[in-house]
Amino acid sequence: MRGYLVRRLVNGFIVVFIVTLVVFSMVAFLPGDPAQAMLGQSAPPGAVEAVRERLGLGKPAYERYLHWLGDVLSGNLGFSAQGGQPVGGLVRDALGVTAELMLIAIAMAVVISLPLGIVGAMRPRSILGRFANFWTFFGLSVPAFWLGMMLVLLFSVRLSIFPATGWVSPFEDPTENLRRMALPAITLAVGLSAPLTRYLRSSLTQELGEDYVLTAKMKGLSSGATLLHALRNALIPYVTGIGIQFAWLFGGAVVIEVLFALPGMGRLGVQSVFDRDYFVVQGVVLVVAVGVVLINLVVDLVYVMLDPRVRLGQKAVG
Amino acid sequence: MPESDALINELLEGRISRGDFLGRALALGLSLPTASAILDTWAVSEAAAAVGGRFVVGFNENITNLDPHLQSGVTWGSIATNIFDTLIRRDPRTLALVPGLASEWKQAGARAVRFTLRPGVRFHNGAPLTAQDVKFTLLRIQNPKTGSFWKSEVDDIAAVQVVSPTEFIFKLKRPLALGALLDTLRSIRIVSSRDPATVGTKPNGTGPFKFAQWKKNDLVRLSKNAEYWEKGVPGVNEIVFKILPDPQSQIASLQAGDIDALATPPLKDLDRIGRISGVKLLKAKLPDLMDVIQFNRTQPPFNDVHLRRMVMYAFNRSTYFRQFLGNKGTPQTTPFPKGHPFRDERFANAYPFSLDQARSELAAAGYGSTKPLSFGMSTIATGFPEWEEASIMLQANLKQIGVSVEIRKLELGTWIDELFKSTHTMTFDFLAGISRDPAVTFQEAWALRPGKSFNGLTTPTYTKVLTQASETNDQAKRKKLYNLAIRINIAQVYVGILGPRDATQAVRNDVQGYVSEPVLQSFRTVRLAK
Repeated sequence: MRGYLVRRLVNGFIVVFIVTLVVFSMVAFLPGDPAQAMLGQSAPPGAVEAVRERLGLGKPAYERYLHWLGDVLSGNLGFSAQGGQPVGGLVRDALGVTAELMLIAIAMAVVISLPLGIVGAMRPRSILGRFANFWTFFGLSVPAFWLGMMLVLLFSVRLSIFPATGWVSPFEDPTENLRRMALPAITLAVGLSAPLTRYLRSSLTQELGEDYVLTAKMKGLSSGATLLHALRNALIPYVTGIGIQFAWLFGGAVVIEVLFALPGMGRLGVQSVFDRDYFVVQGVVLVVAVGVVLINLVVDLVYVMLDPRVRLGQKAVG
Repeated sequence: MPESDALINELLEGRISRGDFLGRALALGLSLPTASAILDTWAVSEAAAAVGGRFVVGFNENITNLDPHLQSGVTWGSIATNIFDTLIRRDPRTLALVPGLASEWKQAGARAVRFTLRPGVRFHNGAPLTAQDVKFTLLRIQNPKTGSFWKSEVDDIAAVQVVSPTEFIFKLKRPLALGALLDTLRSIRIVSSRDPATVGTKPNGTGPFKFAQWKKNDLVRLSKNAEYWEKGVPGVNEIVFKILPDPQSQIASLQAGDIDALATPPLKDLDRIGRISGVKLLKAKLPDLMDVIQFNRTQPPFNDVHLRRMVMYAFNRSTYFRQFLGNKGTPQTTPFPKGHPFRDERFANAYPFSLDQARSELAAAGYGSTKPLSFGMSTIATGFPEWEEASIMLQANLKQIGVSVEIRKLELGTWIDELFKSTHTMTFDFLAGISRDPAVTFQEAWALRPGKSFNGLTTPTYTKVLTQASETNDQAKRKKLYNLAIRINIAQVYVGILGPRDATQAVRNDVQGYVSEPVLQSFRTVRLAK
């Protein structure tokens, strides 16, 4: 196991390095630069060159990348080319928002999908079972942006229960924080829960048809106990699905962040690309890449917990 | 404007007492019942609007840094307007230039103007404002290494002579019209000379609000300057500038009461916004932004004036404003909006929509069925749907006369880069400054300035006309000269003027004292009703 972990971490490091290099190259070769983005198209002659010189943008791209890499290895993510703020601070603040949204949305998605998936597998023709089926189609089909707008119109504008936009730190006002996270989290959870419901329903249906379940039933095991046995095996693809969604959300759900004006990782990353703020882009990409690698590792470890037969890092037998 | 209006403004803005108002109103000839009625109305508003509270205003555009001299942009410009003061202000109701940090000024020769600073003004860090700060500010903006957006506006100031801590003289390179100089000074935010290294990172002004916090991509928070030099302002304890990039989110936030005002509402949705219960629309006395077509005159095909004219004839300005901007603008070919003292109606409607005329210009350029014309034009992919729609309309119109146009949708940074490198062919854009003194308009509206721009060169005649117009105080002569410049632009189409778009803000009814400005919003007189 230890060897497996070391190998995964080394591979993860290589993946992160390659991702940052590729993204830096792509952004560096985009037309425009932070000076132009800052001053706009109406800037007088000479102004852009002056700002460019001040920001050190005259250096070749590879030199800037190596300089950045050196800083990162010494724990410094650099400074925003435009506002001068430390990138570490910017990313930390945005990550806090995204992490909170991610956790709440995934938790809601699990709360929705777990019972629906179970009922969908055990009683597919019941009302709840049919609803589970409907839910998978609804959640996958409805555009998140539209759903978010509808929720805002109903709960913010009509009923004045939740604010329409904005974010408040939980350390500043926990109640207001939850009120502002409610609608974005619900919007995300609907889309996240649909595939999870489907994964669980189909894998549990398969498990419930296995011989060991039939044997257990014939031996007199209760439905609940039988379900638990089958569920444990059925959870592997479900957990994989959660891991994939965590990884996706880690980069920030940009559409939701824009709609609800949340200052998360998605908006930070996208806005930094528009602003050509290279170091901020790199900081975001680095953190997201590291996060995805770690999440995938955690998912693999959860497999082992769920199914002790799984031996990570060993070759398949047979 | 009538003196009584100016007097009422002073009362509304809290600059004079009730007793002063009554005395001066009677001296002006207002009857006692009328003056009393005004006072009663003001008293009701005053009682209903508390001093204090937090005013939250939504903007659609992000800010990238905190340097008061570096960037333009409506959001940062509005924030800076509330943190920093300028020597001269403009009364948004009357459009008259009034004292700001400079309490008086007088011409000291053809190339010099002497200013006196208002006494007792302090920066937010407690340091007193002196003439040295004004000199430092000018030198900083003029320094090419600063990269200031306003450098070209103050290039005519040759030197700043500090006479005393409260007096200084601007020595000019040429005999500039006083109105032109004063209007220029409205853009120059005065900073302290004591901490030069922090000017771009820690905003420290003399304005009604102090900088408190900036959360990138989220908001900027300002707190009240309790020691502000102007009596009775500001009216709120805190302002929050909330960044809301999505137009529908902006409207929903206003409806839900998350924000008190929307400074940059989407034009197409203004009618709908105006119907929201509890919300009013406020329109500025003059617009400041003008939609234009930027042609690259340095290379084919638009190095040919006939083809530029062809596009102007083929573009239906009326439809553009009616369909794509929700009728919130005025199609015209002069940069002076209605109500501007220099406006001349003879030049307001050149290039009526006519495909026949467009075809004639195409033929004059040597193109036709035997030699078809095709070119590409760029537009911004997101944020300006009206320009994409306008491009499609123009493409369809030109197709009718045998011209094929390819539309390239570019990301904003790429689009800006094309303009900087003069690799664009033609594109839609807007220019700012049309509500200002024409010398500033023709300077700041970069594509209209004389000499060289990313669009190409203008003629020596154009340059000469604009130079003469900016150097005389004879307003009749200035009007004649600026309209001559406009006539040259109409003939040569240095830039294709489409018309100004309205400057309108959406404000909740419980917000009082919000005065609509053409671009940069000042909130010093805003109060919130209980």
